[in-house]
Amino acid sequence: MRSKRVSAATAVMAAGILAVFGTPASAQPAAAAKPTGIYAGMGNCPLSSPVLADPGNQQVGCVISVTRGGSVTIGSTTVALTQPITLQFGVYWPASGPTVEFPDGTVANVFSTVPSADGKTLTSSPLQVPIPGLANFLPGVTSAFAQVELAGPITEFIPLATGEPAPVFRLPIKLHLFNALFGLRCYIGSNSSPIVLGPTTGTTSPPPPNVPITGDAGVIDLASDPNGFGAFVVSFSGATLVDNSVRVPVANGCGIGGSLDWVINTVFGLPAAAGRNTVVFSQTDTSLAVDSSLGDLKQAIAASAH
Amino acid sequence: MRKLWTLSAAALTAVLAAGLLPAAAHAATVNVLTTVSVGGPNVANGDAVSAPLKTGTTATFYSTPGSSSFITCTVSNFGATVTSNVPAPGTAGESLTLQNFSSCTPTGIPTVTAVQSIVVNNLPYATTVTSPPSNQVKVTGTATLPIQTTMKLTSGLGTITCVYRADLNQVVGVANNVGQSITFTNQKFNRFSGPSACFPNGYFSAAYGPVKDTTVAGSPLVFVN
Repeated sequence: MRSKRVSAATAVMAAGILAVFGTPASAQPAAAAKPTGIYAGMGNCPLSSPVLADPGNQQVGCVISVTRGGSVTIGSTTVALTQPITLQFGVYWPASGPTVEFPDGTVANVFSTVPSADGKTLTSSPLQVPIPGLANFLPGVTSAFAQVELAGPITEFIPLATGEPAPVFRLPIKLHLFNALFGLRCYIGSNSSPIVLGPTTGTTSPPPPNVPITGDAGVIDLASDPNGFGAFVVSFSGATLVDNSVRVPVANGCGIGGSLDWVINTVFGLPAAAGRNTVVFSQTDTSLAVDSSLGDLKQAIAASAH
Repeated sequence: MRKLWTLSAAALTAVLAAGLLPAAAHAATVNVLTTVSVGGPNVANGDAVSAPLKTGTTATFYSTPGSSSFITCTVSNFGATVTSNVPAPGTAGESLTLQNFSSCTPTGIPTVTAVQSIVVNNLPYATTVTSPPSNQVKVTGTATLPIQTTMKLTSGLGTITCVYRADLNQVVGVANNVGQSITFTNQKFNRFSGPSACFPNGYFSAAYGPVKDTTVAGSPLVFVN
């Protein structure tokens, strides 16, 4: 009986992990020339999106951002971000589009976003999460694996917020939990009630008991297109984005019929009010290519491809 | 070592006409700042002195010295009030009351398409002018009113406001009795506020001249003794 349970648990865990890792090679798009140089990593920019092609756009662009470190703290539980998290999407700003003014007088364009062409706007790998109060002697059973997933469109992308005490973007996520007992649809947060991150490279103003923390814009580099196109690329290397004002909602879908939601909520203290959680994205490299012409941007990226 | 300079005939005429070159002036002590010539009439405390950019030159703000990313202004002026013109050799005091920039354009700054304004904040600044051989012109801010410049730049990402403060809260230049100029070279400023799109530092270079005493009729040239 016990061995059957373990086998079942192992199978569930394996199924979960396969669900995470098991993308068959046949599902990959045909190999195409990849952008290089200052456009490296922008191969999935949604340049064919009708939204980007709107003639009312004054600026269009592509974003690629990779985070290689940091942590997520929910209440008293901290999970190190030991696997890369990649964001890739398109951006646009219409003439007379929304702006935001910072205390120093900077008036920043607020860009809207378009999902990645391959649908993978956010990609991440599972991270092991300790279960508070439980010795972790059997990962996946006495711990869980959590994977960050997108829970809605990225909004309010503000490149000029880098270095300002303001969020660079709004990122709605949910944490997909994998454990032998949780089932395959166990989440903290949901599309309708996501964890909305507003990471900043500046200083936060969290509600107590958290105290202000400060990110780091990293090293900025501004580059014009090397082939004479009108596009330019702004890149931030080694940045740290922080948010300790984030609220974490309750779990859902854990166990049969959500029967274990209460367990997750209890051990992680969910819902966790703003001021009790902290997200740190460190070692973050971001590149933003911007152009006033979508056609020009397409040509610029194509010219870089090999 | 004093060096005599050829008088501007027009300036001399103006000074003489204004009666500002009394015989007694020659017998009196020569102060650090004189008009008309080295050893000429002393500039009176309270007099206003000013200068535009030297003809054919520009004021520039480089991201790093010699960088291909910079802002150029074809118009800039400074104005100061003499507060303590002491006997030479010595150090005279001025109060920098005006410094402006206009007709500025960006070069090689990828996100920036135009310069909306460059404004010098917290004026006036205490300024000193030292006798040769240093001929040093030193502008100094205070802790509460530091030397500060605000740039508003138009970029594809929005209107960027960059606030820079002078490194060590001072800007140092050199006066030259040839052309009555003051030259600032790569004076370092540090970003005080603004988004990361603002360069971390700015290096200011400009040459102003000729420096004239605008309180005196005819606005004679100003010399350093």
